[in-house]
Amino acid sequence: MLSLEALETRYGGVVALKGIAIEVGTGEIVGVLGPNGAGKTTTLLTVIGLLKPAAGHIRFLDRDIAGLAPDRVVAAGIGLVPEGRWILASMSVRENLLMGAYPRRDGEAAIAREMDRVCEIFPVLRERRQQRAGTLSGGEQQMLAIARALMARPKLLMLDEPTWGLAPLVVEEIMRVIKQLNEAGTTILLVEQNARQALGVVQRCYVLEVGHVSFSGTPAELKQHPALTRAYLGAATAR
Amino acid sequence: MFFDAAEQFINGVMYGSLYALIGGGFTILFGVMRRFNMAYGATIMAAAYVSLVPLYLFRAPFWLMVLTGLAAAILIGLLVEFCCFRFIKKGHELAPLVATIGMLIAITEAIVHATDAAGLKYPSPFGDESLELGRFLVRPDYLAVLVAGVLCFTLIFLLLYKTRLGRAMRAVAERPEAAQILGVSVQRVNVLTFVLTSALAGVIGFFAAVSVGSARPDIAAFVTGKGLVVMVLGGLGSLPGAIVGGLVLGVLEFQATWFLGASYRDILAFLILFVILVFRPRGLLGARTT
Repeated sequence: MLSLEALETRYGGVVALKGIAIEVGTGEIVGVLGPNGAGKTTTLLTVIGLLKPAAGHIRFLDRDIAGLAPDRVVAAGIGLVPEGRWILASMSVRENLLMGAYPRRDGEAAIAREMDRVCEIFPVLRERRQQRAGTLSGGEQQMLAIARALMARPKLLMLDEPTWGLAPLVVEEIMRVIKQLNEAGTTILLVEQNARQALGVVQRCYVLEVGHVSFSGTPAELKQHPALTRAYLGAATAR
Repeated sequence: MFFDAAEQFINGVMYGSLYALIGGGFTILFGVMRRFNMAYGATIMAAAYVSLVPLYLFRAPFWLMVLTGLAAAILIGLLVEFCCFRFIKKGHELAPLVATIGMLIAITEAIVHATDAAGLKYPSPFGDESLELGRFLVRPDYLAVLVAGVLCFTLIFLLLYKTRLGRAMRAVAERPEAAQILGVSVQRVNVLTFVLTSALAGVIGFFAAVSVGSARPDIAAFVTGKGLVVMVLGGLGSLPGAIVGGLVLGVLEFQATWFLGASYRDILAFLILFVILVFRPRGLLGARTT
């Protein structure tokens, strides 16, 4: 569904991605792991179109979307739950969800049904519908960010550190929802530093290391590389 | 004495709605794009001039003058967006500021050369007779600008809070990159913002020219000065702030005219600006910090 080929992205003069290759097949749930500054967020921002690649291809559903503006990428069917959530704090929860449905042109009734659907996944959002999004707790904001991305019915959902800074119970809840979304048919690309959590749900994973892919394979294969797991995944080797 | 003050208060509120409209135009653009459009005053002034064309050609009724001014303002606004904003990359905050100052000068010069610096008589469609409002006497064109202000702001708030595009504008204003990953084209929202604020400029141009009785090049400087004062007074980027700021400025100016004489009126605006900047830099309704 998504394939990054020799993707290169620069920040000013610094090369942040040095030609990476990542594949995500339809229906898969793929993880991208690695330490801070490895280029995980840069990868997602390049795919969504907020950063322009210097070289390489981004193929999505047989189209090269490299260099397209974000609104075109989103319209093509990719959703992003960004690191830091990017909630529209001054708007209500409901308005945030409506913003998520911005690319849709299939009418208010369909959007209202979608809103019911995402509120079933995260019931707390229904209770807080009229509340200003800025007043939500961190966990609720993360749920809102995911629900908002779902409003557009993306074919591919990319999540950037969705459990960062959340309480253990909320982390579990979020990971459960991610898995559930995948089982319901959404293809997922999950960026996580919390490797232990991520390895529990992904089918395959990549390890990024200062701008290039240093490992790709299944979680089981990754565990065969003690050096790699120890160096970059920290807590994951505790067991 | 109380009666006079009350009458001046009413006039101040009415004329203040013109200031509110001017401040509103500056504020909406600043709110969405985080940039000043210094050519806004020139857009308003040019719209006033162009709105005279149908009058000279075939004695057009006043609503047609307003519409002509509105259309001219939108065209000028799109030109400003294209020349001064579209191709300037993020991170170059000062470039559009300087470019729009250039545009302000260019438009003003173009008007001066096309007519002459003296200005053209601008008839008021509202008559010269003062209206009796209870015991108070009010100018009919001031009453008209109050009605126009209420109407324009009602439409603007409906757009911003009840429509999909308005929501997108607010999203871009709050967090452009968040709006982008939700599928909003910032480029399109910027153009829409220019169309909206320029249409408002057309309305302002008409009422500004009516209130001074002529279309004059110095309308540009007049509305730029008032607009910036209102913006700072109300709080940068706050639309309710612009409305309150405009009304407050109008009321204070009319009281000052009555106490101190008309020649002090324009000094007052900048005195207020000074006081606000020193004692309440975030303005009357501005956010704490951004």
